[in-house]
Amino acid sequence: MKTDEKVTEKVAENVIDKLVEPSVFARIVVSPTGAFGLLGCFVVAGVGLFAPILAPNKPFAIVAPPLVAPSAKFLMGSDALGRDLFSQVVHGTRSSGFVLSTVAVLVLVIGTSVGLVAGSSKRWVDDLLMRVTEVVQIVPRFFLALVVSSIFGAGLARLAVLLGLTSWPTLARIVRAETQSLVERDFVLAARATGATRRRVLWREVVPNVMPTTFAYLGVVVAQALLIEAGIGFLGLGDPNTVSWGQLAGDAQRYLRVAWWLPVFPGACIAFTVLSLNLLGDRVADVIVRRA
Amino acid sequence: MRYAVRRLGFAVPTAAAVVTLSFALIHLAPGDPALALAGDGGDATYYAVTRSRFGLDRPILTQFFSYLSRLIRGDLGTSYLQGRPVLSLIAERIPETLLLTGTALVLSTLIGIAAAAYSASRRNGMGDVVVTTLSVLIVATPTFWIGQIAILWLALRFGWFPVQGMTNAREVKTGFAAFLDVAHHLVLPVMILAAQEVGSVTRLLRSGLIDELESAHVLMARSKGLPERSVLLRHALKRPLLPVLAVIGGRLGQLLSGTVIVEILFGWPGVGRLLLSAMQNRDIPVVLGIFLMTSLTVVAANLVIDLLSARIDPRIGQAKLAS
Repeated sequence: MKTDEKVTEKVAENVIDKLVEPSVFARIVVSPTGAFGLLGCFVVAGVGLFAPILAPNKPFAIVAPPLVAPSAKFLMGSDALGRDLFSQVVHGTRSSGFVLSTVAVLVLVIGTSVGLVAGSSKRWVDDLLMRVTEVVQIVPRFFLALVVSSIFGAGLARLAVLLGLTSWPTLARIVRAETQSLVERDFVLAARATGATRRRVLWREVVPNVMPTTFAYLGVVVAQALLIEAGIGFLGLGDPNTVSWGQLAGDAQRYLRVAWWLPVFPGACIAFTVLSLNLLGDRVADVIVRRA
Repeated sequence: MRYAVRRLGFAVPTAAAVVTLSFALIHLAPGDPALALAGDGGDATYYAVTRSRFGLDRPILTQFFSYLSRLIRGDLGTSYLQGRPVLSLIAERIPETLLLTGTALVLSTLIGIAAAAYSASRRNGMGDVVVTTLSVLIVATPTFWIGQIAILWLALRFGWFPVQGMTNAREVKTGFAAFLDVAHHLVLPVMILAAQEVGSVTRLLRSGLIDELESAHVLMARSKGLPERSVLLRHALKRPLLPVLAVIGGRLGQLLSGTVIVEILFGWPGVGRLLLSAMQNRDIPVVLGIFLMTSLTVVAANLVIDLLSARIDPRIGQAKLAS
């Protein structure tokens, strides 16, 4: 009888602990960096989605006198052709969002698959995949992107795909390490013991446990890709048919002496986006991976 | 030694992969590869000459091997724009780029170490918060933006530094005055190039140092009554410095990308400027040549760094052999 009571007490304690323990989401949001990062990402996503509504003018429309300073009518001033910089920056959010999401999808798919297979396979398969990963990691992505843009011509989609195809190694390594430790764990052994196939074990037991870690590092990886895209745009090798922050910053270079607003705002948007992604990623990693 | 052989055995296929990639890029280019190699402006005979010169009429495998053998002999092709060998075009720009990149690499490592030591020894104090926040901000900021802001303020507004170039074109100086002139032109580009690297070195070293400061041997050093300064610099710093060394190879790729941007920002007469003008004119041999040289430099740097780390801490080599 007495032991029964004790057991009940213990169970109750556990349940209360679980209920009181803040959720992962809450723990991300309560920290200032996590809150800033999440809010920043929402702002960028929101501006990108509603760009045509938020922007007072079409990005390429000539609506102002050339090179007017920021004012109530033209929040970020105008460029040398009299285009409204604010509208261009707002529309530029879409290019960044496109690059970020394309890279995210590709990196997630390739990085996770390579990591899962390498982490759960025979030694030679693992070895081979890791060598490939190292080769991809070592090639300087910025230069490769420059070469591809100058041989095949500028194109936002091409650039985004290229960055996605070359940015996955970090993630693959992390997923591989996670997988290697997971396949040794009791619950995976239990699943195996019940006769689950390798594929089922990977999909049902390993993948759900790897995913949170993956997402924690994804933010930083896509932010890096965005910085590269911005650099390419800055050099004037961006897609001439779309507006992007890097291109705006590059166009500003000729007017540094006369129009401070041209370089200041596009660069600030890039820094804000990358910062938000990095902070959110760091915080998610702290909460999920390091269990801080 | 066994590790050295294995590591070398890996660097060779990596280099081969880079070479294959650049060969593939020429042939995947839209249209005739002769067009990519010789530019759009030539006439029919010129293309015929290019085709036979590069053996573009022969089977692809033969082409690949002749490409390879020309590379090994240091022949990166000819710039169609300037009609000169790509290798010598790049080579004559290397000193300027090396001055910029080398200074930035050394400076960023030193400043990063100092900042991390300062910050880790005052953990969660005011100074630590400032350093950590700054490094997070800098890492997130595109190099060109730091450069543009620095030009706007430090060069244009206050006139402390020249905006463009490596030397003052108006008066040619000699001797020590020339050295000072170049140094004065170098300050701003180097600071901007180093900034992002300082951020990443600081972040990496700070976390390692914080762990190390709690370790037993640091406690031992402290309990011997050593001053905190010597505990930090002589006892705690050594071990966490190894990862800082280990990432230099990877940082080099980043740094070289930054160099291209900084050279263009400041009109620095190095390889980056050559690359930009080659890209604007679709001078593919030059663009590919620079890509190859950069990639191979990074591969070689990684090789050297890995061997060096294994030499300093033999456990690294052992661990890599085992895995």
